Amino acid sequence: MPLPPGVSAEDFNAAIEAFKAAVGAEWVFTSEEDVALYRDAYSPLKHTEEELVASAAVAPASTEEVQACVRIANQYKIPIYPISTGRNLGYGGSAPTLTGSVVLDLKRMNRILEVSEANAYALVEPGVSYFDLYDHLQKNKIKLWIDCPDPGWGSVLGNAIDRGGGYTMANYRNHFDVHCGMEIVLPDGELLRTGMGAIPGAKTWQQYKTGCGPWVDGIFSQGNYGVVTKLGIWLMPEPEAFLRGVIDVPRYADLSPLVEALNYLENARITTGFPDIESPLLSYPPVGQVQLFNEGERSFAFDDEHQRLLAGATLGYSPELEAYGLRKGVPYWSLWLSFYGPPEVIEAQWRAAQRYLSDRIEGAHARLIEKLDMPITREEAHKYHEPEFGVPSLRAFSTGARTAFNPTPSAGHMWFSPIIPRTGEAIIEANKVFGAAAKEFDMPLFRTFSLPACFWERAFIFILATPVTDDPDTNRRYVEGFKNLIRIGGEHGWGEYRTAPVFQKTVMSVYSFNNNALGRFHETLKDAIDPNGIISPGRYNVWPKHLRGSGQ
Amino acid sequence: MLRRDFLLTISLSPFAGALPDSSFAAPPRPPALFIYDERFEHARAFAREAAFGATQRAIRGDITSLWLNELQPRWSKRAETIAGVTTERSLFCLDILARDHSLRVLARNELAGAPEKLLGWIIGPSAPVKGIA
Repeated sequence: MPLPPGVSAEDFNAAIEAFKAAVGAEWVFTSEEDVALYRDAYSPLKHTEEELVASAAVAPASTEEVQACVRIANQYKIPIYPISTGRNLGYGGSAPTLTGSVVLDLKRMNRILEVSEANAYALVEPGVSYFDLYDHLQKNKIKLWIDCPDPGWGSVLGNAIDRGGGYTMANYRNHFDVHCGMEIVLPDGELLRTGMGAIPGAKTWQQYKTGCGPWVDGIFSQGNYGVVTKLGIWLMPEPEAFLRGVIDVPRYADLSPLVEALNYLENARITTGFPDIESPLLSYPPVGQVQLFNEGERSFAFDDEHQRLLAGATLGYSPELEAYGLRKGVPYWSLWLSFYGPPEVIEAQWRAAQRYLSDRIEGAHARLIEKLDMPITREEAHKYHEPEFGVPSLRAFSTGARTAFNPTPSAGHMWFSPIIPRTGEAIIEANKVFGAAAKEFDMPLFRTFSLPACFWERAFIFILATPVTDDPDTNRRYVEGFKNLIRIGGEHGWGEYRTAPVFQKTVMSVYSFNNNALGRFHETLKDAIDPNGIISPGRYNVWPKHLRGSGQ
Repeated sequence: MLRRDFLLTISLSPFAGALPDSSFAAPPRPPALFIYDERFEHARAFAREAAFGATQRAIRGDITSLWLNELQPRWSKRAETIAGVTTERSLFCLDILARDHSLRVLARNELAGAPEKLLGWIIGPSAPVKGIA
């Protein structure tokens, strides 16, 4: 396996022996077969010399063992790459940002340390998956929900500090926002607790985030300033009921007022569930329901005229297509809204949403999709999109079969996911800009028109799945195309919210205000906190001094 | 014919040599489960004709229920060999989950003649048995 850059074989072997002494020889992995398991399954650099790969892996079982590993890494200047469960597929998986790093696998640290039903929080270690926390809540009949992304095998802690999201109520969907208190092993092995946790014997570590004085939690998210070993996470009280409705609007120009209405309804907390924008006329499904389309449970029906008009539309529009939709009663846009809470409250919220939209958009038409009493079982949740009911699943992977909706499933994907403004104009502009770029770089990113995801309340994520294929040359072309999309997005004031290691340098180059002041600040912090540069060198392009400008 | 195809895919597999007995026709122990994706005729046919007498479990792409209700409890007690015919994504999930129980994909290959891309595979203990990744 490749050694870390600048580390002699003698020092590396001495470090491996020290790791074995610290965590037990059976938890240090050096064989090719074992280390290969840490490759990124979706790496676009697979089967090339540029693929980012580890040299070894170490799996500590406790905070104390993490501290020992970090001290050993410092002694021998070994780069270590902490992962929780390493399953953020599409964003890099468990492969390091620097080839030759030793993966610090925290999967064995899988204790749920505390759950408070009364105050709706949990305190977890990095190896606790969404499945684990869900099972714990179910088995102990605790009336709290998790908020999880589509694959439920990921780490609660890991997804929070990677700034991932989920599908339930707005105030739980942003997983970094709902964290409350961290414990961190710093690069020198010292233990830090943030927020109220800095008080010995703290009584409110998981109830009040910031403590007093400068709040530092942010630098440990998507960061390389320490190893997060405990995290508080706020959980959602189990609601009494769920309601989902759809507002259809008939015209292309209705997109902007529709988005404005959505913003008002969300920011005023009239709707709290995961919202979605669909275009039946353009055959673009709602993100939250895409699973059902992939499985063939739902589909768009087209006649020949519709197909022909779709092919002739520009940026999703032609007067003829719009006239067809009006004539046939096919909505241009559909806004999916959902509500959690007591039945009388959510029914009133749904009525208010209908009134608000019908007052503002001519021809707006409301449809009630479902009203459900909670709780529902895992089996019942399977009829819907499980994560909207706090139920973790691996169902997203059932999209791998060919279907009419998904005729060419890929070997993996890279998420291109810039943040764009929450306006109808921005949606059209993003389609124009990225549609032209995808065509120029010959990337299969668009069908007819793309709509953004509404995970966060204040901005859209314009997610485009870039396929990973089995052909290295095609992948190389897509990687270059992806980097160009990032640059073009930056020229329009848009930036990624998260990205895989292979793109982190390009993404961070977009955040260049005032001669890269942010990047320089990150480096200043890195030099002060981690002078030997042992924690995840290069993560989000924050390199230690000795590797800066080395072409990494 | 289907059974022969499957055996051929296994014998051609680069993992075949890693099998304790490289013939899938007569594995030293029958797999504890045979998993097939019932959405596809070729997978259903395999379950009918070539499941080695193993207990069969049907899935429809999603392995969540199988994992939570059967595999996880079984593998928590004992690392058992399983085999199946599924899509690549279903195998991908099983592969990742199996690693936590010191199990590995020992054989995999694409079924010839299926309109869908379907894989025949075996997951079982590898030697040496260690690792959590």
